[in-house]
Amino acid sequence: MFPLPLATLRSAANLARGLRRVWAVMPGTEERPAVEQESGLDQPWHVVVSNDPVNLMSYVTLVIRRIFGYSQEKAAEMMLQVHQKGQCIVWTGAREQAELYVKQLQEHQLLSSMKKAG
Amino acid sequence: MQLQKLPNGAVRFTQLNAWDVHTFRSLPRLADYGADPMSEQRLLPRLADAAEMTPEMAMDWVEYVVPELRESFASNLATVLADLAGLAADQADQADQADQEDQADQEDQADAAEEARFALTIPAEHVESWFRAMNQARLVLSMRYGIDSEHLPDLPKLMESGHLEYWFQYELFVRLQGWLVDVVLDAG
Repeated sequence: MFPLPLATLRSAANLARGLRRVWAVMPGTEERPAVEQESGLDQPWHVVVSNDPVNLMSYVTLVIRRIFGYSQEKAAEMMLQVHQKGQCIVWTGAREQAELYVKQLQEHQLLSSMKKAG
Repeated sequence: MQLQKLPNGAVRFTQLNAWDVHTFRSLPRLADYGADPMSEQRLLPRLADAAEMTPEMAMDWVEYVVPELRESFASNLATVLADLAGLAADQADQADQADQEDQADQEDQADAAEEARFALTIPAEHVESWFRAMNQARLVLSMRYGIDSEHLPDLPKLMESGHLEYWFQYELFVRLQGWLVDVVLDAG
């Protein structure tokens, strides 16, 4: 297991990328073409839970409540949407937080992913 | 099988018969997704559609998160295995007891051994691992054999292939998990 949390690693990676950008525009340094794609850090992402025919409805409700801190009513409503419509957006926000939520959901074995909002 | 939540939050299984014990001992094997790409894909799905992810996102996920998820799944199974060692000790105790109580009649003794019951206590802090191990086993059985909670499986096919027992084991896990959620995990 990697000893550092993902957010820490990503922060370090972002810092390194920032330094490379500063270096690229400093006088006397060679300017390099930007090769990195837009990271999507600034735009909101949806966290999506998808239906599966195995996880218990009571468990899905419990996990949504536990991870996001929602009320029993709200979590149960989301669970029902997952069950009846196939999926439900359970949270929307910054990419790094969305990734953390997806990881927690997958650790609980819920079928989950993220997608760009809008 | 009887289930009981103890005052300290632990869970006690009693009156376990030989098949219950066999099923518990089979948990790590049933939950093993290693040799099945479909099961692995279900337990470790992609973070997002490939079209929406940057290469960096995809790489970070595979490099840092997936190993942690694998570790978490393995840890659940290791906890189950460790607790099952306690069940083996109970089995020995009960066999001794049966020997003492029923020395007179060899036939009755054999019957007693055959119908021996076992007990297992799961510490409160291990209950979540047990739940997830059973969940993982059901997910793998679903991917491998088409057994799930929304459809009746193809029973003739399961019988012909010698996999019918997996359906019974799946259903046992459903009952146990339902009880664990209602009585233990979601009981505050």
